[in-house]
Amino acid sequence: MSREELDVAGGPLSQQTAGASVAVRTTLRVLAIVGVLVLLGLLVGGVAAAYGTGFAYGPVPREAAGAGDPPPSDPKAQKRFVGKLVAQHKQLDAALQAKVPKGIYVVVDQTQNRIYLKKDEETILNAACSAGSGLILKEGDWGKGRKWVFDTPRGLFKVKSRQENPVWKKPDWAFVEEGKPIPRNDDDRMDYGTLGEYSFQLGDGYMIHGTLYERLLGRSVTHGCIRVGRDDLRKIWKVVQVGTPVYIY
Amino acid sequence: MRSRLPLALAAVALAALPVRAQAPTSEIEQLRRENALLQHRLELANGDKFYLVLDPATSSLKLMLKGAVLQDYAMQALEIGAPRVAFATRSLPDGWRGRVWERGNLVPPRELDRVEIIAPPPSKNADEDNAPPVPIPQTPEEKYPVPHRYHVRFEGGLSIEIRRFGEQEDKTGFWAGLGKSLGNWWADAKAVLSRSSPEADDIRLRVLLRPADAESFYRALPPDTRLLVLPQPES
Repeated sequence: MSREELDVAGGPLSQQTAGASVAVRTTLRVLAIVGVLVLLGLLVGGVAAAYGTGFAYGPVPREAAGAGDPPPSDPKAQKRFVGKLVAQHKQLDAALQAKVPKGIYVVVDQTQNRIYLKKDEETILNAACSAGSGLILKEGDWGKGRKWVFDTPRGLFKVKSRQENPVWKKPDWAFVEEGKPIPRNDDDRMDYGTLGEYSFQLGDGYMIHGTLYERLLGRSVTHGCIRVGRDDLRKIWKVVQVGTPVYIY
Repeated sequence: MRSRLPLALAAVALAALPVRAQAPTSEIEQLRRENALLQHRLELANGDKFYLVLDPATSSLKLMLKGAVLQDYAMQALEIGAPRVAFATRSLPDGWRGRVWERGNLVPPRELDRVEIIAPPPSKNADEDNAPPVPIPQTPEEKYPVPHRYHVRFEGGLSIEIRRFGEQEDKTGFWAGLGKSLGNWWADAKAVLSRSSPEADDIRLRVLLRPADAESFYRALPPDTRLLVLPQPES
């Protein structure tokens, strides 16, 4: 093909091509702008939706009157109905009041190692104590494979007995822990002085008692009993009797 | 006991109405609701589980067992939160007050790091004085660090969010603060969006406690606690 032929043939064609590429570029630009705007919108919308997702807080509304069954409209029947409600109210209230401890009781916060002596609603002693360490002791292959968990139990207990100058009959775990052979004779289990001046039995071997290690009060170090310092134990001894409720949480 | 005198007086007044007089329906309704509430409280007091009684009227949150108040926390503020998705707030389910919520547990949980000891073989020569020294255990404050914001989540979609009153959440810098805020938002969004998951909350009560109380509550709360939210009657 000659130069002239090319010029004649290429002139309008190249103009057409240039026009088309401009149109494509413009379309692409518009699409890109629209795309960016859509993305931006989605982003803003998403952030706004996320910001508006969670909990809407406000004051606790007062309770509106319930929509229970309407009371009888007949005055006599209504009076009987009200009388029944009042009697039920008295009965329930009395039953609930009977549950509330009266007089002296003990509260133990075993996680924070605090003991409270209470009289009715008044706290008359707030002292440091020591509760169970949560430690697990296992016998090795040489023993019976027993396991002990040194937790203080939670719940309501009652003082079953109280002792002055208590003697501790050491259980098996005390010997296992010390790496000593378990004695066959009960006399060899007796330990004098470790429990302090007084002890209060709560059942299953758990006690509130004194301690030789007052510097550890406020820490969870015991095998499940509640250890109390000497001066506080004396105060507790004066008022806590057999049958006194002990709440441990 | 919460505002028993006015109710008792109302009960007596209702009972003393002459036969022909009609008792106001609202007062009868209040008496009926109060009886239902007493029944719940009695049921809780008869149970073996620890329970919380949240009373908006007296701003108190009580930890109780068998009718005895073990700890009474003074609420500095109380708000109720309804789930909100993209600014659309869901309505609160009916009857969330005056019912017993079960199995309340801390989120994040208070982990007890138990130490296991394998006892040494018994020896007649074992001597306590020669035993290796036992390290002094941590105090409860060292053992259980308390998050600034935590929840007690109950089965059925109610949780109590505990925050410290008058204390800023973050003191560790902008980025750490931002990270915590995002973390809190994500936890809230999950609680709102994942309705079938155990982390979902339909109702959230936000309780502000004094910092010492907020810490004490976290360390003290026993597992599987029950909850009763007392209604705040119309005045």
